[in-house]
Amino acid sequence: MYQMIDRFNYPKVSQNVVKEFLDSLRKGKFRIPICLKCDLKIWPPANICSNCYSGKIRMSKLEPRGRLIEHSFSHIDSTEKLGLVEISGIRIIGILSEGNLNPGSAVKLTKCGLDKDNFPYYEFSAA
Amino acid sequence: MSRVGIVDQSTSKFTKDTLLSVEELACEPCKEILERHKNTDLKIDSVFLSTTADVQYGSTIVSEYLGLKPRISQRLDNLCNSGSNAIVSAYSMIKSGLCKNALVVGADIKQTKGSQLVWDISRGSFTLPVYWAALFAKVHMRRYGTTEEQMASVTVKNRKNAYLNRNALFRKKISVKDVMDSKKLVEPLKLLDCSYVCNGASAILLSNEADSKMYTDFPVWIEGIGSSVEAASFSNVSSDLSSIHSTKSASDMAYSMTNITPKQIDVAELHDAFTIMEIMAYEDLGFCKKGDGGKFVSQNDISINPRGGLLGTGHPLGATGVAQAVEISEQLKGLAGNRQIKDCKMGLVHNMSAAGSSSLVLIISKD
Repeated sequence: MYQMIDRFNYPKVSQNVVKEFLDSLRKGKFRIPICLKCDLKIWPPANICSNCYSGKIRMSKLEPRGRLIEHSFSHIDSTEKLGLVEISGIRIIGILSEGNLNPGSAVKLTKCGLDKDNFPYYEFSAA
Repeated sequence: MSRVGIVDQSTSKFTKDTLLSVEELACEPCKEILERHKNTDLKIDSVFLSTTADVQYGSTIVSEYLGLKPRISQRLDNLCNSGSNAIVSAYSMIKSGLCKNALVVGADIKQTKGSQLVWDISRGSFTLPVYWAALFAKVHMRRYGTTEEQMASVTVKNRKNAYLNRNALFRKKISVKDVMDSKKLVEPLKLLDCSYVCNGASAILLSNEADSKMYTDFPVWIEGIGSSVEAASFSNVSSDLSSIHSTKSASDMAYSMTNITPKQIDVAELHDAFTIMEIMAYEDLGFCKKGDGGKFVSQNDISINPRGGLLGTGHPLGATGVAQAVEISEQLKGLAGNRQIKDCKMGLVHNMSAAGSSSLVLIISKD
């Protein structure tokens, strides 16, 4: 069990899709839970569908392209550009690896994983 | 139907450092209230503790520390609007007749885990609240022309008010330049655009109408309540970041319950966790038109955050909503001392959580 799972104190269930999400992320793959019954994209990942309450869920790749909703620069640790991005109907805050992206710009998810503190990270660039 | 009154209220001094536990902090303002009523036959029959800290059996421990044996003892956590939610829980129990006199206390410590919602992994590694606040600010600036100076003016105003509040953490007046020159965190927000999570506790005593009139000559009344929850995650709040939708819904509900309009509010405590959030609250509470929040900072028709808001007073998460209600109660009763607003009859509390994903609005009146 990852330290990440322990930290979030996720319950032990027959299929822990949150763990599966983090396992994929650790391998650099972005797969999110989708309800087998009603097709809802369950985001942030959870072990139950918020629409039909089904626990039958598959993990699926998403179309990685989307658009930038808003962006900013953080100077807290080092200077980095971040943005709120919408891809395939879900919204994520991630790092923007290119400087000339503006709200409305087409972007794609290029990299993801867990950082040194086991926090997820998502990185986007121009599509 | 019988009303619910605020009989008494108290706030401890908010601090950066404390040796007290959350439960001990919570006792501070309660002791003051109980001391004032020790020669009456007041019987506290319910205790509500609002805190985001990692405590067990907190409200019952506080009850034992205070020598109380309430019938109902509950702890409530809803992040930054825990305090106003605890007030609503107490209000509801009094309204239902289950209890008559409720002590509602909010207390928190600087180290509380409540200051970051780590559950929300849609935020990636950007877990600090300043990240989402900066995104709201960027949208507001782009769409409505709100400026960094207007945002800085919110801190200047609230610090000026905090100067008159002996319980406030930041009692030094500052200038727009001070805010503009403070450390850049996440553009456009700088250090002094942000509230400071600190230690503190506040308490109010709520009673049914008959007991309110018995235990004080100056009760004020909770006349309106509005509450709205959109989501827990930032990814599932409304996609339009120019507005705090839960605040709009909650205030519509509260105004409708009291049949009053925003223009009738004399004094308001707004949830200024970040300067931009106060500006957006002006708009979503109906104090000004959408997009005019930046200009509204300099108005004088409604007294906003007379105790200094979160920016001037500090932000002990679980205590904040209660502290806001304490201020409105003191203002309406004429007990606010050197920061008393003249002739105020109607007050409003706006308390929200986690990127505005939930909001609560209280309307409190003086008869």
